[in-house]
Amino acid sequence: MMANRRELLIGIGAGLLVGGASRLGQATAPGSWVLYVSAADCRVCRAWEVDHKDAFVRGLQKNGIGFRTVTVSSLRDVREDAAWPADLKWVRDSYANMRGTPWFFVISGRSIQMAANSTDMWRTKLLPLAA
Amino acid sequence: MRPVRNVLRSLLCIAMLGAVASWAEAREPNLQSVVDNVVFDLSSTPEGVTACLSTVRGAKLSGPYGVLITAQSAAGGWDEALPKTVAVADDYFPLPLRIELKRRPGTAQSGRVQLEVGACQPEGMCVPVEIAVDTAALSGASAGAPCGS
Repeated sequence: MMANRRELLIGIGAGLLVGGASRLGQATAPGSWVLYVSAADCRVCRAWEVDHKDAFVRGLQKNGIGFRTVTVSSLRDVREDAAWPADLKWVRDSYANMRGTPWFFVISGRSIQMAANSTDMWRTKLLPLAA
Repeated sequence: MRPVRNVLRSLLCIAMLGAVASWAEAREPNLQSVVDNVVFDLSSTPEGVTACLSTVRGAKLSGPYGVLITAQSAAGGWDEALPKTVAVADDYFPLPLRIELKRRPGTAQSGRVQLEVGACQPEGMCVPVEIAVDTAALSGASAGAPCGS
């Protein structure tokens, strides 16, 4: 009985995970893309780029999701005007309290569907997009 | 009888002065502030100001970002040109990190100093963290200040 209950719980957990992932997939509208904001002096960003970036971008491409990068000179000024392409400044301007790096945004058209400002949040919120 | 009373009164005064002195000392600890998991421990020395930087909860200080030291007032009172950045090529500073800022000889003037570091948090993000302090508010460094050289 105990084992059955455990299996039932595992089944429910798996169902929730799959459901969550598929909902995430549904939430990612066609034409969505990920914006990654890094800084030249951000060691955490460098480590993420070395360890995860390529596989993540490949996974996104497989799912039809694009990827773009903005790299500012220093995490001291993530809003550095010169580093942000004109067509992306609206993203920066949408987050008045943006501070430090990295930042990850899931964007569809002119709306931000999701934002994450740490590699932990990237792992939980964005990594499923590349699965 | 009167001499004995005077001696007792004197002893009482000395005891009270001692208590007041130790209370005043206890009221002026080194300035310690924890901001975004970065511990700033600042104290004054005869030569200037010593900052001892460390972290809690697994945070690290970015080496390339460095430590930016800025004089917000009385910049001429320091024996080096400010602002200045202390940086290392390594990913992170070894901690604790001791930084000494020397006053210009013969200058006792205090001023407001700002320290800024890049703090990389265990959850995977790096943020700028700063603290500004009026050096007049700092007490003397204790002999065994817990900071590496």
